[in-house]
Amino acid sequence: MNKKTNLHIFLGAGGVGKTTVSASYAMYLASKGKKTGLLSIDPAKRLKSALNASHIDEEGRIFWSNTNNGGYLRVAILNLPDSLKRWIIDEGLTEEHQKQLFEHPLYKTLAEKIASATETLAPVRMAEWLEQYPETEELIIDTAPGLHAVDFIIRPEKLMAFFDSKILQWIKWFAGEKKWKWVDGKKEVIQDQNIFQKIIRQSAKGILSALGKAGGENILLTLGELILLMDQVFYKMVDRLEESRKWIRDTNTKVYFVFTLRDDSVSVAIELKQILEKNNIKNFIFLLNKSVPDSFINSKEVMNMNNIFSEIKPHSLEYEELLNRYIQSFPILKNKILTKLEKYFIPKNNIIEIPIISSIENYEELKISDLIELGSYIEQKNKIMY
Amino acid sequence: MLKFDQKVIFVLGKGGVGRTTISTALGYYFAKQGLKTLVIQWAIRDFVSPIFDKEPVGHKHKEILPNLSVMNYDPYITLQEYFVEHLHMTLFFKFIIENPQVKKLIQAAPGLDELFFLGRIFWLVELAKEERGYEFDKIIVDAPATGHGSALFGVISTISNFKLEGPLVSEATRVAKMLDDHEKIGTVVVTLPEELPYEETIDLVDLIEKEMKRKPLAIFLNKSVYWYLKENSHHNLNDEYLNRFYQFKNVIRSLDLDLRRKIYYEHRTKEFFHQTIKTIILPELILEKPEITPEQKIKKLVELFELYE
Repeated sequence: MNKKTNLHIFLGAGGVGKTTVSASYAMYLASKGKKTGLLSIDPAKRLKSALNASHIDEEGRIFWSNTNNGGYLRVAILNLPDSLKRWIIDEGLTEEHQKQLFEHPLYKTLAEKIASATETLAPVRMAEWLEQYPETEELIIDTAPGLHAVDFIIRPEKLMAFFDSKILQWIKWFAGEKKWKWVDGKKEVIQDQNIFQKIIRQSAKGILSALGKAGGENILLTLGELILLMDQVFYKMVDRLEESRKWIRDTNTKVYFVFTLRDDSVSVAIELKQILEKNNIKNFIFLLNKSVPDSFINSKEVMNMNNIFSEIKPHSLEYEELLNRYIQSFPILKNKILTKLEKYFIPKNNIIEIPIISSIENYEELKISDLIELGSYIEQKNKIMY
Repeated sequence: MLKFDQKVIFVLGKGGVGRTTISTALGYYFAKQGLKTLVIQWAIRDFVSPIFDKEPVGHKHKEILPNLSVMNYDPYITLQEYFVEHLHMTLFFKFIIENPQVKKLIQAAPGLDELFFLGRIFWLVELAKEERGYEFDKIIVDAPATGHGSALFGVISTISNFKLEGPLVSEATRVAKMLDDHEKIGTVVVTLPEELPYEETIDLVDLIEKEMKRKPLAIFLNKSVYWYLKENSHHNLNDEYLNRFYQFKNVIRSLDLDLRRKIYYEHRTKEFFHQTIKTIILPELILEKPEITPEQKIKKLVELFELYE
C-alpha cells in the first residue's frame, strides 16, 4: 500500500453539504501545492458547474493545477457501472467477449445492482485510485449519504458475497468450467484437477444442485456463466476492497462527520461515530455546516426579538415575520443539538462550526475561490482544535 | 381528509427527507381511524417505536399503540420462514440454506433480497389470514433509503429475465401480480423544498412510473416554510429590517437566502408535478414550536391529514 497518500473520508446524512465541503477541502489542499485527488458522488448542479464537471469522468481528470507550487486537483465522479465496464476492458477481453458480456441479462442486472450499491462498492474504486495515480498525496472521499456508507467496514461480507472466492469456484465448477488463463487476449485451458479438487467439486455440486431445486438450475448456470466471464475482474475487486479496509484504519486517515442544525443529521453523525469506534477507527473531525454563530444568537438584536412561538395559521405571515420566526428557531435548535452531542461525548469545542455565511451552499454561482476559502477555513479551525 | 384506498402504501424518498416520519404519521393516522395498521421498515434498527418511547421491535411485528403494529424486516428470518413454513422444506433449509457459503450466494444473486422483501409483504396481504388467522387493513412500507429503495420494483422483470423455474418463479409471478394491482398497492414520494431532493424526486417519480406503470398516489412536500406565508407577500427584505441587525447583516442575508431558496424549490416542485400528481404540503413545524418532540410532530401531521381537503 502507498502509505504516502493521506485519506480523508467525509460522512454524513443526505443534504448536509458533504459534497461541497469535501470538494472545498480538496481544492484548498491543491491550492497549497498538494497533489490532491477527489472522488465525488453525484454533485448538485451548481457544484458540477464550479468543478466544470461536464469534463470530468469516472476515471479521473486533472481539472485544476498550479505550476508554481506543483499542486493540482484531480477529480473523478463515482459511477460504478462505468468503472465496472472499464475494469472489464482493462482485463484485455476481446471485443466479441466484451459484447457478449455487456449484453448478458444477468450482467445488466448486476450492473444495476452495483449502481444502487454505491456505498458498498465505492471502496473498491478508492483503492484503485492508488494504482492509477500513486503520486497522489491527499485523497478526499465524498461518500453516499447515511449509515450505509460504512457498510464496507462493518459488513464486508455483504460485498464479499459477490466475490467470495470459494463460492465463485463452486459455481464455476457447476457451470462446467475447465481452468484457464488469459494469454495474449486469448483463453488458454489448463488441466490440473487433483483428487482433492474433485472431492470438493462433488460436494459443491451436491449443494448447488439442491439449491437449484429452489431457484431452478438456470439461475446457477446463468450466474456461473457470468462469473466465468468476469472472473479476473472479481478477484481484483476483492483485493482492492481488502486494501481499502486496511487503509481506513491507517493512523493518517481522517474521518469527517458533516452535519447541520437538523436533528436527523445529528443522529446520523452520532450513529456513524459509534459504528466506527466499535471498529477501532478513532481519527474523527466534526463539522457543523451552515451553523448560526453564537455571537449572532447571543446578540442583543436577536435576544430582543420577541420570541413567542405559537401555532400559526397557514398563509398568515408576512415575509419578514416568517424570517423572524426562522431566525429565532436557531438558538433553540442549536442548544438542543449541542446538548445531544455532548451526551454522546462530542463536546462543543471539538466541533468545527462552518458559519452559514462561510458555507457556500446558498451561492447562486460557485467559483473556485469560494471553494478554496471554505477549505482554508476548515483547515485553520482544524489546526487550532486538533 | 386524506384518503388512500390502497391496502399497501410504499413510502419512498432519499435519506433525510423525513420518510420515516411520514410513514409513521400515515400509520398512526390509519390506526386512529380504527384500521388495523402495520408499518414495515427495512433498516439497521426500528426507528418508529422509539418515537412513542417504546422499545425497538425486531422482525416479529408488535402492536405498540392501539391498532398500530410495527416491524423491522430481517432478510435472514424471512428466508427461514419462506423455506421452512412456506415451502415446508425444513431439512433443505437446515443443510443447504444455513450453509454460510450458500447464504453468501443468496445475498449475491441480484434481486433475491428484494424479492424476499416483497414476498413477505405479499404473504401479509394475501396469506397471513389463512395461515395465521390475522390480517392488516393497512400496510405502510417505509422503503429502504438508498440503493434497493427504488430498485425494489425492478426486481420482478429482472427475475423473469433469468428464465427461472421452480418455486422462486411462482413467487416472482405472484409478487408481480400483486404489484400490478392498482387497487391494492400504491406508492407515495416524500421530498423537501431543497435543490437535491427536488432533483432526486423528479428522477424517482420517473423510475416509479417506468417500473410500476403508474404514477405515485401523492408527493409529500415536507417542511414547507411557504405554508405560513401570506399569499402575494413580497419576498424582499427592506433596508430597515437589515439595519436592525447592522453588524450581522451577512448572517441575516444568508438566512434570508436560505428561506427564499426553500420557497423557490417548493414552487418548482409544485410546478413540475402540477396537475399530474397530488402534492401534499406539510409545514416546517419547527417554526411553530422549535422544541417539538418527534411524537408531537407525528400527532400534528396526523391532525393535518384529517383536515386535508
